[in-house]
Amino acid sequence: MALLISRRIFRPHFIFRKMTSSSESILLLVPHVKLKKNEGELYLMSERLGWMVGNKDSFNVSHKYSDIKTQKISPEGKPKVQLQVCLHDGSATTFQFVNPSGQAEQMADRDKVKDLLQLMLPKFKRMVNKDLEEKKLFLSENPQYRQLYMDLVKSNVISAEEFWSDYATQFIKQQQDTKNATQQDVGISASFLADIKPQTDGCNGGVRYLLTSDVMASIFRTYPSVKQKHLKCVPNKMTEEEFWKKFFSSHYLHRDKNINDTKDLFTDCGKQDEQVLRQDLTTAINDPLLDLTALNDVEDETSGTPSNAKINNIAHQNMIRRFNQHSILVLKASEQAAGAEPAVVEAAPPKRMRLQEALTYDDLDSSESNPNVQLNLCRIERYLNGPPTTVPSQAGVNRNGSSTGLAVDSNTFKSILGRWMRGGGDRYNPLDVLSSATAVTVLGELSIGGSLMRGPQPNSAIHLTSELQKELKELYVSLSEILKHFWAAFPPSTPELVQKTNRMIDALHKFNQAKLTPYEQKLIQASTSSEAENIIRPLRFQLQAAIRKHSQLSERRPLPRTVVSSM
Amino acid sequence: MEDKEERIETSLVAIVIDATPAKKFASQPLDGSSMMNRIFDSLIAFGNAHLMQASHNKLAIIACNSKSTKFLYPSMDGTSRSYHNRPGQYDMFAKVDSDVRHGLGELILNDMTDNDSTKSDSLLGGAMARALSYIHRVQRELSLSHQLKPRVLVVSGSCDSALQYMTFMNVFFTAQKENVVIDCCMMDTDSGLLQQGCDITGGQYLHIPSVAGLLEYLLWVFLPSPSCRSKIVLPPPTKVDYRAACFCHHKLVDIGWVCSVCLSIFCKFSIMCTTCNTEFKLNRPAIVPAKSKKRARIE
Repeated sequence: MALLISRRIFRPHFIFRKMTSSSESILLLVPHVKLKKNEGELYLMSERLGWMVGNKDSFNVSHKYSDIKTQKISPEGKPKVQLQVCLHDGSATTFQFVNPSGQAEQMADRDKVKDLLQLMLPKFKRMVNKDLEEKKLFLSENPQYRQLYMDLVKSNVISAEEFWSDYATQFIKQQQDTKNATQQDVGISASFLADIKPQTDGCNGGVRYLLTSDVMASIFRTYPSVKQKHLKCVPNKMTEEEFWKKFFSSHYLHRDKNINDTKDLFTDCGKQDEQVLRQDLTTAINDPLLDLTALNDVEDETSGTPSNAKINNIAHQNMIRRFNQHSILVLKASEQAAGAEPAVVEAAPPKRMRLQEALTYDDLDSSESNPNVQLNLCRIERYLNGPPTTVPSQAGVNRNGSSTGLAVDSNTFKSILGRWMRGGGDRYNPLDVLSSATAVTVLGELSIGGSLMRGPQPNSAIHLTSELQKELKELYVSLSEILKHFWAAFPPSTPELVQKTNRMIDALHKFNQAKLTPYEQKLIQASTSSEAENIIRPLRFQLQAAIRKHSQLSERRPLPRTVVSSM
Repeated sequence: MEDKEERIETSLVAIVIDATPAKKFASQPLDGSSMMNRIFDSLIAFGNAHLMQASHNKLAIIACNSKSTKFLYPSMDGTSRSYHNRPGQYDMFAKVDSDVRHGLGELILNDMTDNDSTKSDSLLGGAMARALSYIHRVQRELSLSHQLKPRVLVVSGSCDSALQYMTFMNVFFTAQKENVVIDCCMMDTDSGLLQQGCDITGGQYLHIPSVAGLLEYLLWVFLPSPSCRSKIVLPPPTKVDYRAACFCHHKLVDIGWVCSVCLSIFCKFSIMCTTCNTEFKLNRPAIVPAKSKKRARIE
């Protein structure tokens, strides 16, 4: 019985005929391997591993190497010798080695399998579906989306693709942002030369420099003339090693560069650099308003204009020269990176443009006045007084004297009024204002059940526990989602939209059954059924409206088809 | 140690009395004196009851009729009237009493000269606006240690005035903005506008079946402040009819056509707005003539 069950479970995993077994080469065959208490044989092929009971011709269990995430082995001391194979989707299969010749043999078997797997697995290691990982990350970061996902997709109300296609805007934007992040070239670290730590060689007092290709590339970028030298000399005239030795020992590198020393290989590098710098000064910088000489911070005290007196200190001069060269290289590199766009041909000369830019401030400009249209009113009182109130004729005020037939004439009225005006103080009798009988009548009207208290009381709503409240909110959110999909497909002009509306209606029905009705039951348990109905009513109303609209449309739709068929 | 200084809550009630139906009520005799006496006495008693609730409470009473509005208490005249209080009566109550009697009487007597013009409506909108201005002023004058909780109680017996729609709406929206609650106690008739106002500002609207028990109604329903009304069982709010009337037929419409220029409401589509002469262009197929053609064919 157990065997039969296991066979039924494993059946979907394989579609395997004997002929295909011959096309796959068997790399390793291990007999006496138990899986779930059934003994069989473990086969390791070129693309997958499989396990088979004794004399069958098809695998009971087979896993492709690409599906396998990891393998695990049982620790040494355990009596059972086992190997577990974990798959990407989280399931695991455990094989037990039961070679009758003893535990050592079992361990040997297992080790063989393990080694082979270790060889094979990296070849087939499937790139973990990055997309899936990203989606999981997105869901874990945004709890409200996760909640929606749980509600809608897990209960199969909408399919997963629709879910992602909705939030694609946010999610894909995220993805694209990371992709489109402008790839910037990694620059050279400023201290790369200092990082090549010279190691003093113990005996001779010489220094060892460790050069990697990265360092060499950095050097070439910092000193372009060295690169040219390198191209010329290596490998024709000297080896790499010699070149670099000369480089490091040359004065070119060190600060106290003496141009006049002709023995050094790199002296003309210095001269070349100087030339390039001068050229760059005139051409590369095309900012018309820039005046470099204004940056001179050495001023002749006698005259106002800055003098270009020679700086006598050679060391200072050299240092300044090196700084300038470095800066101009940096500028050129940054211009290259940004200047991928073609140069815009400017109509006006650039200097004028710059001046213009400096003069105008956008925010201080007066905003464009909207062209106002004159309002022509021909019936002004309508505009001023608003919609007329439907007054039930002139009741009340204007019947002051007319309906009751002027029961009181002005003199009597004046006397009544006069008497009242003098009525305060000692002449006041409280019982004139309110007699106890009247008060009791009024109380009766105002008590619960009285004539004035008919109607729904706003405050007597049931107090929902916070869980019920949360669930209600979630219901609202998920229902709104489905309804959004549904109404967005209106009017259904193409067959796909019709399909979509049908799908959404099914989703709504499912939602009703799966979510709404149980919640209503819970509410009824918490309070009375009428209150529960009141709370659920808006949700049901929306549902019903959508269902009604859909049935209207589906009734109308078959008509054209019948017309065609009759013809 | 928590240094929480609670601000003193000052509750200000501005009673707006509509004095136009005074003559009508004066004609109804009740227990010797007229109904009018009872109504006015009830209002004074209510005002004093409010003052009695807490020492910091404030009161304002404004009356209006078809000609003018008048501030009754605190009285705006410079004269300090001598008032006779009963022994043991709190002075402020006596002052309220005398101010109101004097002011209201004067207001009504001034209107007596124009007996025949009964067609005009009471200036309730203006009185409410004055109440709101007073509330605003008190708000500014109070020191920071006081927190003002204002509300307006409208006691009226007259119907809506068609001309005052805009005024009423302005008052209601201002009150809503200023967090002023507008309550309304209607004798005799119902007022749709005041219902809307109470609904917008979160106040209580009550239509009294019998005016004899006015004081009891006032004390029961309108004396508690809005903050504790949620804990008391009060008459439930009525369903307010927010529909506006169309400009052409004065029919109440739920869904209609609105001119986008002057916002006038129509119940049927027309090519031109009658208020501002704008033309409306709408791509509508001419349904009506086709039908008549079909009918002609069949017949």
